[in-house]
Amino acid sequence: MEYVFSALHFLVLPQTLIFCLFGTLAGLILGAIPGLSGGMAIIICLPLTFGMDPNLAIAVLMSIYIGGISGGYIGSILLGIPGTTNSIATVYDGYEFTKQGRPAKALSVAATANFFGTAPSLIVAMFLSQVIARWAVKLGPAAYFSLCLFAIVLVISLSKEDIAKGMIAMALGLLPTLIGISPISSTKRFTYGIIHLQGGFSLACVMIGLFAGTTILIEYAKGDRVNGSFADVKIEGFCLKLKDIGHSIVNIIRSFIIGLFVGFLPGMGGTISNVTAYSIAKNTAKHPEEFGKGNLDGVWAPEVANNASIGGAVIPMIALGIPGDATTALLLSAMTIQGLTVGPLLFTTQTSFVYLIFIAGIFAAAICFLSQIFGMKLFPSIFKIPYHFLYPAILVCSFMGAYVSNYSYVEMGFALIFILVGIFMRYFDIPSSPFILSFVLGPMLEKNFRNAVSYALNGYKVFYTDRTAFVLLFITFSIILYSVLRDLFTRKRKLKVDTQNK
Amino acid sequence: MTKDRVLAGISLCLGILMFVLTFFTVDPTIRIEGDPGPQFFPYVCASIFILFGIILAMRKSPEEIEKKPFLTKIQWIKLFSLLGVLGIYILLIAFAGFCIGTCILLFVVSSMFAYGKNVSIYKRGIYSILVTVVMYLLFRVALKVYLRVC
Repeated sequence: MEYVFSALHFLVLPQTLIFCLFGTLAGLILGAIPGLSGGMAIIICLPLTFGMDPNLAIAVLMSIYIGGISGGYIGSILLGIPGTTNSIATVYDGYEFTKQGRPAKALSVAATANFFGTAPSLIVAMFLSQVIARWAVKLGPAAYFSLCLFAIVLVISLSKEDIAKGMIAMALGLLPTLIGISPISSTKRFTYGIIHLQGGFSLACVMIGLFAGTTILIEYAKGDRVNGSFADVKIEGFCLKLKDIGHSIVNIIRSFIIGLFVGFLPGMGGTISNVTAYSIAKNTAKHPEEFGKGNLDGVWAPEVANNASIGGAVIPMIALGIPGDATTALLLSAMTIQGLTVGPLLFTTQTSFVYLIFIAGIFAAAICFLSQIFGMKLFPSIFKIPYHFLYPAILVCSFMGAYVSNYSYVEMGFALIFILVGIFMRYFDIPSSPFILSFVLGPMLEKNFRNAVSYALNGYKVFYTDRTAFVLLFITFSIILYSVLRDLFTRKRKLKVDTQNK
Repeated sequence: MTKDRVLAGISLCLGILMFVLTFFTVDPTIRIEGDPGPQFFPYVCASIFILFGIILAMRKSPEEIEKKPFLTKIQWIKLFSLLGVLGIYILLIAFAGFCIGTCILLFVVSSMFAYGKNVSIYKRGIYSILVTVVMYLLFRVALKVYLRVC
């Protein structure tokens, strides 16, 4: 309990409150605008936190994270265009309310759903993470390597059908981690005398190039943007009644459990949980025909689920040092940059910091909720921000962030190179989640693999004799084999159908 | 030739290049007994590129339906022109300083985004100066990041 009070004491300091408020608002606004996301807000703000106190840095980043996930519903309800993939299913019923001239109801439900999803999920995560961390501490380097590899392959197999492109994405993500000084032996690899390559590539320049830069350049090239005139709706303000919660309590609890479980699985998170929760809510409803026509349950389900997945995603991040999705990968890297050793020992070595993460998240959820209640009338204004002013500012912020990561203009050049990589990946439909996980986990993968083999008396056979490692590797390679065969048979069937149709 | 085949070719070339570069340029010296060495993971990465490049090349895809191209020719030109502007920005702030470089970039990029819309040159100018000042205060004063002003 002392850690909880210590975290609360830090969070109520005026400086922390102001930073958390700005972080939440930045996440909310960027999460609301289609094409941008809360993840982009983290990417842009990450380098700005390098000079901050670690506690303040993580409090701000958690605020942005939660604001970003929460903000996605605003575009879904007001424009029919989700701000982030976490709010896809919210469009189906949420936008109907706007068409019927009652957006405030849907917005009020979504704002409350966000809080109901986030705060309890972080409380559950606080307790579950300890349990998992106690188990994870007993893992040796062989098992840890296998766990990291399993997480990456799970992301590939669950996120996209195309296993080949997923594995190529994984290799592309590993590639930048191989440049620089190798772990264990400190050998220089692929630096060719270029001093700027010796430290490898910073996470900031990779993420800024791959996501922020690529997104904005493609948006500019395509030129199709949300028309601000849609945002002329009038919103009366927060208008939720207790009976609205009472009618949907079963749906809320069920969607919470779905979100928590799905968020725990690497690579799934809010994108899958909101759609899953909506489908289940519709299929189990007494009147499923009412879904898609302005049913409050159709707003409760996806929004509770996508925010509950925050707690689910934080569990492996804290307990295992393995990110659950792209955004937690950024949070994890932020912790590493602040000098923390992530992994199961984080609970024992930095207990106060771990509790700060959870309490900061709950705190941010409360700030987010209050901001949404009082600021609801201003939501349409978010979409009136002219893109010709917003995007250049984001570009400057991003590139300065790349500069700040190593105080070098060369980092900005690297960010430019990764913009090209990002465009290459988008052009060839190569998924980005395996890339991010491989980039973040790559050094850990190599270090644990080499440690496992060099520490063990039986060398490579340690991956067979260590039961946990063996089981995880067996499952991993089975997933790869199954995915390759499934892909092969699906294509053969499609070809047969095409031939028959001709 | 489909996109998948092109990607397969690139993946294969990348894998082979990695193999060659690892073999010739990475010092294989092992300092700890039993350690697989610093060449191991580059070889693993190269193998993944080659293996899945071959799988991608060999699998038969259904005929690609006439899909909208990723970007049209004009869109590609726009994309690379903005990329070029960003490249020039890096050189500008390295040689001319943060304030001049950022102000010019903001004006040029906002003009590029606003092309075809009636946004006055004064608005863009004021926006560029204002945002430059805000960014300078944020980085230099609030975050104490050293920036060459001019």
